[in-house]
Amino acid sequence: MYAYETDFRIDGSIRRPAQTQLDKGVQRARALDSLLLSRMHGLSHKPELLLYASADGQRPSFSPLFSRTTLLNSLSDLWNSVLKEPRTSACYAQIVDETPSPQETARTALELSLLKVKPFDLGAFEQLLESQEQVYQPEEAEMVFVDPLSRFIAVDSQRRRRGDSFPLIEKQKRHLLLVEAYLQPDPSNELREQSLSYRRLHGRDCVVGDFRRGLQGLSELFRVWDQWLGERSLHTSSFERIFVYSHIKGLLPGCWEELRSRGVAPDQVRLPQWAGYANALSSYWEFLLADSARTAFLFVAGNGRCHFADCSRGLPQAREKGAVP
Amino acid sequence: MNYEQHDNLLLADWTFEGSLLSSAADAEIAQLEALLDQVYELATAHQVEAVLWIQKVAYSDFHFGWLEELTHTLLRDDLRWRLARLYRIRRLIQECPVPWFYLTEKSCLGTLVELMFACHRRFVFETETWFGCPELSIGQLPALGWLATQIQRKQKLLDLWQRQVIWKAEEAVEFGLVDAALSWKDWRLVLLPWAQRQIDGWEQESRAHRRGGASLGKPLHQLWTERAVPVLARSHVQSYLGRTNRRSEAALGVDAELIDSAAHFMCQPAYEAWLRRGVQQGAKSSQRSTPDLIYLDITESLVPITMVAHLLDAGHRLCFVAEKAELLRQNLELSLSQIEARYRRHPLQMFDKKISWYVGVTPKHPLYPTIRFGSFRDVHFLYQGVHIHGWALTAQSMERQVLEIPESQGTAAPLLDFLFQAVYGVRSPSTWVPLLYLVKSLALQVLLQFGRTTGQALPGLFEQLRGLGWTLLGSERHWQRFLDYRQSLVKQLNLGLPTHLGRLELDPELLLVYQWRSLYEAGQSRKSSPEQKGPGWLHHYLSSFCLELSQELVAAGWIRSSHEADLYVADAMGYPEVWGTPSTFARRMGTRRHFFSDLHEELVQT
Repeated sequence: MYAYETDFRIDGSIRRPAQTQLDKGVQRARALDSLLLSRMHGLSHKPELLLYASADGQRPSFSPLFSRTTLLNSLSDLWNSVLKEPRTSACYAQIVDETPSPQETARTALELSLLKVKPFDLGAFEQLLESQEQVYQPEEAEMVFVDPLSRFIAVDSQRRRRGDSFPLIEKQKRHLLLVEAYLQPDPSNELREQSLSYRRLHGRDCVVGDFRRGLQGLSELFRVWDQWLGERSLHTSSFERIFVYSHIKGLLPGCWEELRSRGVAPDQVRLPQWAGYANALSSYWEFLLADSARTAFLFVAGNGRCHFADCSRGLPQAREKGAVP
Repeated sequence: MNYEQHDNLLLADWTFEGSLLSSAADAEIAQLEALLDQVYELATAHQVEAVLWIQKVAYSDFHFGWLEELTHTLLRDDLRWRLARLYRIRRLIQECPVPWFYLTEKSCLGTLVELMFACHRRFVFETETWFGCPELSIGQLPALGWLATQIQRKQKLLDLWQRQVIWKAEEAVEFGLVDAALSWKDWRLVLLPWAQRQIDGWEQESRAHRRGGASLGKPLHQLWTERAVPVLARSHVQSYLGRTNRRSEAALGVDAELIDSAAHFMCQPAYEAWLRRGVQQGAKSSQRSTPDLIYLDITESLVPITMVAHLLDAGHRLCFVAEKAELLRQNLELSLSQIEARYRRHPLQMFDKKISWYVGVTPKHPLYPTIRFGSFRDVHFLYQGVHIHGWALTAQSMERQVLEIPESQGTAAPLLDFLFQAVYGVRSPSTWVPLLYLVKSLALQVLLQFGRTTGQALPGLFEQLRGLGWTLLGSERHWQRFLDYRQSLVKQLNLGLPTHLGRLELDPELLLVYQWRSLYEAGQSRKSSPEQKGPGWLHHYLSSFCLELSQELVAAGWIRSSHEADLYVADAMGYPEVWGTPSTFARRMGTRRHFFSDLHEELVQT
């Protein structure tokens, strides 16, 4: 069982440009480069490691600027590269342009079977979904893309609102999600003093019963979570935001029931993949970059190998004194 | 050096940064020996079928630590012992019962390259890499014996190796030193299955052909060219080749003659001097050759195409930045169409990996050099803590881009070397007003003066100027922009502009002219003296003005040397390109200096 506790400084953003109906490969490569370059420009020293994740695994063309480059395929890749090598500053860039395998028949079947196992209060869950609209919207990004004929296309929010240049976008309502960040584990003391971007992260794995067999694991998972929080004298109410991610949407109503029974309000919960443009990695980064004092992350995997983490922000001393909420 | 076993494969990483010859490498050599022991043990038990050796850092002997050691603390016997161990490692790799596959993305020059050649198959996954033995250029034979064995077989090979000491990856493939050079970026993802295929392929081939590592595939008829080995080179190479008893020594496993003579040679001052030069050049070239990333802020105005092309040619990567997406799109379209016209192929195809862009704001202390051009050709150069503000003298369309910076920032000028053809450190009368502004005002005044005295209208003069090749001075657009700038400058600074440049007075009335129309009116003819008009006279008049101006600049102490002042004036006035470079022009101005002494008084009067 893998448990970790680490301090680091993180600075980054999550942005959401409208997706153009153009050649995806070119766009993705360009967007990945522009993400990286915008981050590199603002930095004061050169990061050694480039972490990137992109649906097609295409390496950014500016990756030779870094001494090492790593492609992240899953959350465990991220932990391996970030937590096991704590003295490397890293740049991170990711593009998410599709939901995690929505049309998979096996998944639909699993979701249906999960719903059969235990009837949920779907009314309460719909209420949660309604509140999701207000919980979190990443800022809209302006970008310049190249279409297959190498013409440039500026995509910005104003233009799109007028709807004159890209009527298609309004119709399709599809977005890319761009995540970029700069991660510096073990920040030096002067950095700690000046930055609120300093975080402390706790996390651990938790293996419960396989969800393909039934939902018994769910209550066990939350029991372990309670216990883990209790050890550090925390409670669900001490989190400003709780990110719940599961590849299987059918598990979410169950999670919500458990959370609701612990007195969690709907606007405290964020279901990243419900918005349609997220995957496990990006929602973990969303959790790391969240603009809240204390956040929690729950990763509910179909095979029962779950993970939870929580992240508190600000100076350690100040946090102890209670100066930072 | 780390290694781990994956099923039937042994994966070994090469991560040692430094020279194999230095004492710092002892631990590394010990690890290599341990690895070899293990490989031999596993191979006899048939538990391993191949070794994958991945070079993860660039290797070269030009390493500061090695140079220091060589200069101060090296004992020849230590070096000889180290070489003997490396020799043995090389031989063990070459004779290993399982194949060694060598993979790299980085260059490999010097001692390690012989270990690489000893591997049974060699693959390079980056075409921009270099391989070879640079020490052959001073006549030192690599001491690990791979090349020595080759040369013993065919002495003519020595010529070939000395003619070209390092190869680019693709040349190395042609030459047979490397099996394949691919620009296959994601090879790591499929490394293990790929290695399995290599093992299968290896087993299908007959081992007899492969044993012995790289073989030289060039036909011998290319080797006839005689090239004199430098005198220094003869001492090592020939002393080695001249030995008679080397066969018996080789039977012991290590070629003692080779190692002794190599260790001896490395302790000579010639080798040390060569190494020092290499380290210095390497320090420079590693700064230069790794293509830098340069940000070009095109929010206000475009970056001159000359500069962009110059940077692309030098292998830099470029990133265009603007604050608004629409602005960025427009400016990118313009810039890239200029590049396209210049390179005659689509720039996005050609520089796909070199050009990128993003919408955003330039930070105050960017990590990479950032350059931003403003309205009146003012230039901001930002780089980490450095901020240089200067003025580009020449027009954007011109091939020669030069910059004027305040003398106080002159120490930072070397930073700009790769961007501009020339940088002038100028002591300007006011920190906010460039000298360029005064020079242009004066030039305009001189043109008007000429028009008045000869009775020619300004448009006519401009046409004559264009015909003569003074395209910048003859451009109406240029003057319009200048007037706009002057207006904004006066508003911005609330007067207080200098009224004279040395002894050359600026016309106060003309300084307040902001309208193109009133400029024409100011240039209306007052009297006519037809004997002194025409393009010849105009040119004569202008060049003597330039001469006068450059003398004034030096006399007033704004520019240090008269040659620099000549060059400055030539650039600021837009020298006629048809007559050669500005230095040609400056030289002519310099030679004229003696003959035009009579004009001096005439000009001061005007």
